[in-house]
Amino acid sequence: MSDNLSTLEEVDFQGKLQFPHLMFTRKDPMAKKKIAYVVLAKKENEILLVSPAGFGEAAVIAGLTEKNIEYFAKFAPREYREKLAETIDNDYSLKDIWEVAKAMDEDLNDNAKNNRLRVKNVLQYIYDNQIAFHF
Amino acid sequence: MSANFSSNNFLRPNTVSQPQPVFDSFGDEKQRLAEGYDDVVEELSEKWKKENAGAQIFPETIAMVHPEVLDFLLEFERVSEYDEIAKQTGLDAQGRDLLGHIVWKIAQTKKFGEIANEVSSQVALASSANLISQLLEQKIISKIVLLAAKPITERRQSEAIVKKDSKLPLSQAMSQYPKLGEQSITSNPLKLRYFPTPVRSSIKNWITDYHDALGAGKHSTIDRGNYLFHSENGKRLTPAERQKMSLVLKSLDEETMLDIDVDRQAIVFEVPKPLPVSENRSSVGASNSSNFSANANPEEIAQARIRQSLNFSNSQNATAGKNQDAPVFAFEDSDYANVLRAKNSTGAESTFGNFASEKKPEVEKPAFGSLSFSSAQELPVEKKFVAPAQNSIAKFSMPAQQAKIEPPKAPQTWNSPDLRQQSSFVAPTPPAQPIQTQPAPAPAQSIQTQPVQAQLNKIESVQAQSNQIHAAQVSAPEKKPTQPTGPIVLPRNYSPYVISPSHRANNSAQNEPKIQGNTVDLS
Repeated sequence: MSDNLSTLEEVDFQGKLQFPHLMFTRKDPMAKKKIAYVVLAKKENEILLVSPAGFGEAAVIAGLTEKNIEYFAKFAPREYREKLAETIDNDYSLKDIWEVAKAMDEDLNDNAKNNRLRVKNVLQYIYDNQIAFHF
Repeated sequence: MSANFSSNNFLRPNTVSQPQPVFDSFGDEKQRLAEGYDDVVEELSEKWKKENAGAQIFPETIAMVHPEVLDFLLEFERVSEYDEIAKQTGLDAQGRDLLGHIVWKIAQTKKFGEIANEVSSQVALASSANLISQLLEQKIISKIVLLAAKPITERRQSEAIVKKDSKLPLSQAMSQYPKLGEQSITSNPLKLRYFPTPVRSSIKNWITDYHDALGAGKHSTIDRGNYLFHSENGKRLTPAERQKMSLVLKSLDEETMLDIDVDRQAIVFEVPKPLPVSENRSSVGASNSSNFSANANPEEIAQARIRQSLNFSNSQNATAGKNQDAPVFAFEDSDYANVLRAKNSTGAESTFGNFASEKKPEVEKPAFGSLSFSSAQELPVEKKFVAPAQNSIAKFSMPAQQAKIEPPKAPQTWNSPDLRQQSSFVAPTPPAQPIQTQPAPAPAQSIQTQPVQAQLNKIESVQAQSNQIHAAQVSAPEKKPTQPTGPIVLPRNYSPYVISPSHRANNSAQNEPKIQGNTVDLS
């Protein structure tokens, strides 16, 4: 336990690090967008602290950065990869991912496509290296 | 947590004791939270590393690719390079997606010279195939060739794990490789206590049976040994299977390492090697060392290994695996003498000398099985029974043979031919010990074994004795014909209707014989 934090603060941080997909009980577009932002803010060494089940959520994948997915591809254990591949293979999840990225772009301005471009690159990376994700 | 940094103090800035600027408080708070956050990340990272220390990272298909090649191919820059190549060669989205797969295939197979063939076989745009292959070779394949040529100085985590994970305790291996629990390690199906039908002999089912028998938790070596040798399922194990099970259960109880084949997700059991003779002797006890030789049965050796691993006492024979159902030998067994006789089959050179060949005053009728041979054969045990039997018969029947009295057949039998004619078997001559008093050698081989001959001889001797008496009665004309006074019950095997004349011929001559079952009562 950290000496600098209260128990509640520590539990709060642990929740954000390990279970960002469980931060909001209602999975409305706003909640998904918040989850994606939480994931987007993560450093490389934090991305694998998310539980494997988190990579079954479209919002979490929508928040992945290029660096995060590269780190994931190099170091994630099998369970993580299988969950991610399962989500990517699902058309509904793909649509969800794209919707979240679009909503994040809308937060910036009307013409912004940064998040959609990022998500497109992440998905392309996964397709290119499909062999490293499928067991 | 220090009191100064509590959230309550943050909400109520130090207005009383130590007045400070509000913005400084925000700075401290941010720093405190940032430090706390880093602590949590570090703590969780360590925990994560421990939990995933043995985890598989890459699929088996690419786990053996050179680590630096793996790193190179998994860099995010490859995406933009593929995009650029696709743009230069005019590939559509589908064609662009193929580029990554082609490169991975080349890296896997290490056939770097076949990039052109691979591209032309997969890319539909034949006109740009050469260009695509050239660009791929320049930008990616050439670098892969260089990286693959480097010696592997530092093992990738994935490869290290593939190697390292080959030794794991059973519980960890089963959690990591779920298929491992389904591995069958014995041949016979198992009978579980709470399951009506036999189940597959998988590791999971064996563990279930083990816990049903001994309860959950850890168990001692003796408990495991008892389970392996005396439980319902353990009794039916072969020595080799029992050795496997002892390893599995030991790993379950004591967390010992097992060799795991990661690809097959199965435990690798080493093939038992023959032990040196001296090792056998030392392991199984000096008293039984003569039973072992350099050509010892592998199953016996396996059995000895199990006992070694279970730390059993050396009192038991290492060949006890053959008699698993009766691991404890009881000297009180009524059959113990027969066992000794059987061991003495080699004659005077055997361990027990001539113990069993000593003549006995009375020969009991041996209870033999239904073994039969196409030619005259003798079991070792039979020899020991037949020889004394013949001796005793010879002594008993000597007067009748010497007198050479041929008794009339009519009074001997009741509604049946002669005993010799009726019985379908003809006794062979004993090969080892010919008996001088035997009237004639056996004419042909028979399907009956030697003890039958012994019994037949015994019957003949009884008959001869009775005939002698009868002949004496015939020679005395004043006396009435003899009638047996009581039934002589003969074994069913020989003649169901044979009647032997009575010693006391003066009784009940007028009585009619009474047939009751296979016996005839002439009283």
